[in-house]
Amino acid sequence: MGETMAFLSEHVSLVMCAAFFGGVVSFYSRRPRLACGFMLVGMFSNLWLFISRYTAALPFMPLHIGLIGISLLLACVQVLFRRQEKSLLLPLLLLLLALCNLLYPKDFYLPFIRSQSLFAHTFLLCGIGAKALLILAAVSAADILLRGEAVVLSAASRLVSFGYFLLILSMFSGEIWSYLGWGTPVVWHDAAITTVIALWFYWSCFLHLHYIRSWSTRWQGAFLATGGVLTLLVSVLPDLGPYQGVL
Amino acid sequence: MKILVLFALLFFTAFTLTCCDMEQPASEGGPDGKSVVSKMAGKKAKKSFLTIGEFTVEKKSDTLTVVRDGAGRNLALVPRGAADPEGFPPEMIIHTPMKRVVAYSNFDVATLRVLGEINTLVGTTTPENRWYVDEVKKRFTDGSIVWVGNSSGVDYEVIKKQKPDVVLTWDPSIVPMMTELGIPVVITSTPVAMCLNARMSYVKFLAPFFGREQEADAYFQRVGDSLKAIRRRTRDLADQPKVMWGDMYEKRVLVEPGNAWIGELVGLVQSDYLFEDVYGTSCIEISMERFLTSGNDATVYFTYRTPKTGATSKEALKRNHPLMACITPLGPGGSVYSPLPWYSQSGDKLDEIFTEIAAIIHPDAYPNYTLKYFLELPEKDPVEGKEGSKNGEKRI
Amino acid sequence: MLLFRFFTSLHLSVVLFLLLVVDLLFGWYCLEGNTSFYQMMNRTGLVEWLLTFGRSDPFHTSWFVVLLVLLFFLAINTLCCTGEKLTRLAKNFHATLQRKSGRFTLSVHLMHLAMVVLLAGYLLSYIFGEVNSSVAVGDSGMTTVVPGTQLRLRVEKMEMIPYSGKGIPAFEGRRIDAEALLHISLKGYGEKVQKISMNRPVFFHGWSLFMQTFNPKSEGSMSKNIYIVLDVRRDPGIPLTFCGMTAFVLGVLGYLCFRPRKTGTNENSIPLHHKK
Repeated sequence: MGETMAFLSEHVSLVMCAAFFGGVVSFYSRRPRLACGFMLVGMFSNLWLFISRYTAALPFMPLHIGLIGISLLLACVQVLFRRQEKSLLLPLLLLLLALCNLLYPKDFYLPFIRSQSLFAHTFLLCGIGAKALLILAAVSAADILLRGEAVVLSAASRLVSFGYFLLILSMFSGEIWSYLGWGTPVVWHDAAITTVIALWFYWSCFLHLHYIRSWSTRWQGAFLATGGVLTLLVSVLPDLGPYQGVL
Repeated sequence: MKILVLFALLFFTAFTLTCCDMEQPASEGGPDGKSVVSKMAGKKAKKSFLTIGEFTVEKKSDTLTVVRDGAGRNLALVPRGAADPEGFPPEMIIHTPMKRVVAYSNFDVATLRVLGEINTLVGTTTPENRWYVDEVKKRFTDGSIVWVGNSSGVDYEVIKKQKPDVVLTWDPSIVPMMTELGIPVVITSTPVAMCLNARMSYVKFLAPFFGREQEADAYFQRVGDSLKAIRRRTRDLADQPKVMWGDMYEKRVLVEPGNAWIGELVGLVQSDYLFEDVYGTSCIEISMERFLTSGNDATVYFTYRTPKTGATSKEALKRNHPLMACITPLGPGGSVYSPLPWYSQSGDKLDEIFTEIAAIIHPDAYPNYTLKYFLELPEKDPVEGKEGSKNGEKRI
Repeated sequence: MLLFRFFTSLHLSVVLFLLLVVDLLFGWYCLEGNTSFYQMMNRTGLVEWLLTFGRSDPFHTSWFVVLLVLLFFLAINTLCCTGEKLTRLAKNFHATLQRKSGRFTLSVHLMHLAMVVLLAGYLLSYIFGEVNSSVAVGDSGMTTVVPGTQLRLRVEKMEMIPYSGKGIPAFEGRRIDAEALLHISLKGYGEKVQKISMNRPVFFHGWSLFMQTFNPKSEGSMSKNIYIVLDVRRDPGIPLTFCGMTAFVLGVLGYLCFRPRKTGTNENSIPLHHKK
């Protein structure tokens, strides 16, 4: 069973990567319908990967699934809400995530038994949702910056607000889990906690910057885009396994 | 903003001064040149603090040293004749130097040899016929050492009869019973695998139990020198073999993680350790897929199995676990090494073991090297009777 | 007054946030391969850790010390800012509550205060928390006394929970949890019998007991001894931490609900160079 799943997982990862590549090429050659078809295939492959890995690990929290989760949510947004968008940024990002997943396609670590807690799953899922929303906000901001438009970034800010809320939920459920399992709400030896707190401060900073009068749209966009890169980095890097050293 | 910068500067100055001001000598350079461990204070300083992986040794005063064992329990070491310190229950106080020790782990016994204290050993969980160390076998014969039973179920009556000052073990379940018997227990295994430096300086953890700090320092120096020599010999080699260390069992796959001393050593000798990203306890379990994927890249494979537990040839390994047949080292011309039975009892010869591992990974850098602790597995099982002497009764 | 103005500055918050991010990213780098170094903080407490581990390796400790200092300044900054604003709002508190924007402002300040409470909780835990690591309790009916305390523990019954899934072949035949019926007694405080398992601690007169591990992990395990290993803690910061967390979540919810919506046509695209 395990070997079959691993075999399938590798092949579906390949299909996903090819589909997102097809999507990017079709977008570039102005064929929105074809692009949408490719993206749909990519999204369903991604969904299969996510569900199969998640259910295989149950009742434990699966490890190294963040990349696939974020990619799934971004693919859903692309297919459902950004079909008409001409920007190539999100499809390119999806392709990058699919390539990273292809580099390290299997969940090599066995889950640990303390992760069979509802709070562990909330920590993971809210974290995935938060990071996807924050990356999406950054993509929207980068799109606008690249087009040279001065749109008040209210849509992106709203995404940040909801992403921030999910990040808080993820962080606090992680703390409750940590308390119930290890006896302390914050463990400083876990890189995942350190990076989540770093993200929390970064996006808290963004929310505070709104109250500074000299905070221009251009700066807002740049800050959002940088935040996106940071979020992407802390989400993707730990999931690259032996390849993180290369990066 | 200026005030903020001022605060930051003040803080850093204070912190730096605090760190420099303490009675601790400069950090000792590790084998790879990294500062990895703080050295114990010299004679002048009364207080000192030493970390050895998850173990710590804190000299509080001339009459009190507090050690933290692998399970994070604090024990007080008090010289014989000195008053017992307050705040420590009797079962957490050890009177030094210790005279009688029961040890579970072969590595602990080897460390006693390094410290010149093998005569204090009065009981082990390894029976006499599985020992390859002459001194231990001799003491078994004259009745100074007894077998206290299997590690999974020791005979408490036998331990009680031996009247040990301490039991060195990895099994925390014996603590309540030992407490009842009034015998202190030191847990000598840790939840996270020992890194190279911790492995080398573990001797410094046991040294204060016997007042043998000088012997410990000398041994650490010797092993450190051997590592430097290995580094010098291998650092300019162009070839970078890929190494894996672990084994597949019926349903489980166990490997040495990247944070273990083996992973660090392999990296140090100009080669790639394929489980470098795996972190955790020694013999950590990973998925079969990962093992096989890394196996496809590997050039050198070290198995956990000894010839006595089935690692007699590549063919035997493949027979035991057919899935493993696809990994490159098990193919024709591949290199597979198995530890010989006395390897696990040779922890007092880390310098030789490190050199042997380097010689296995880079045979060109060590021409004519004769293996002492590992066996290169042949393609097929040797004809019976021929190889018996090879795995047989070596004494160390 | 100058100092107070400095500490109420929003620019200071922004600088502190960014410094915290940089510091935590450096911490991320330091954590690589040094997990056990920081893990000891949970056993020793902050002060002892800084004086022993911290001193022995200043490089790997520096980011954590800087983090503490930055958090201290952030807490002062937050308290000054929120204190000043809330004093002003208090004059017209009822009117503030009536307005949506007022409720929004109050939510923001609730978040601020919650963060300070949260930090205070962590600090209390790390300074005044007591930990007794790795207390083994067997199922032989023998009583274990937690070192340095009057707590006496005994396992009355233990039930192993096997893995029932199919997705992870390596887990087949393994036990994934242990439910132990733990008898706890403390001189002068009576006794209690309660179930404990991996993510289900037991609380008793200020003490909390957490299961660290159990044995055996499978039927064919090499080690047959049946026992659980507990971490016994006394942590005065936990109530504050949980109060802070709850208040923060309420604050964020209020922030999202009462957020002023931007209206009008200013969201239309205008090329950047045309914007004044």
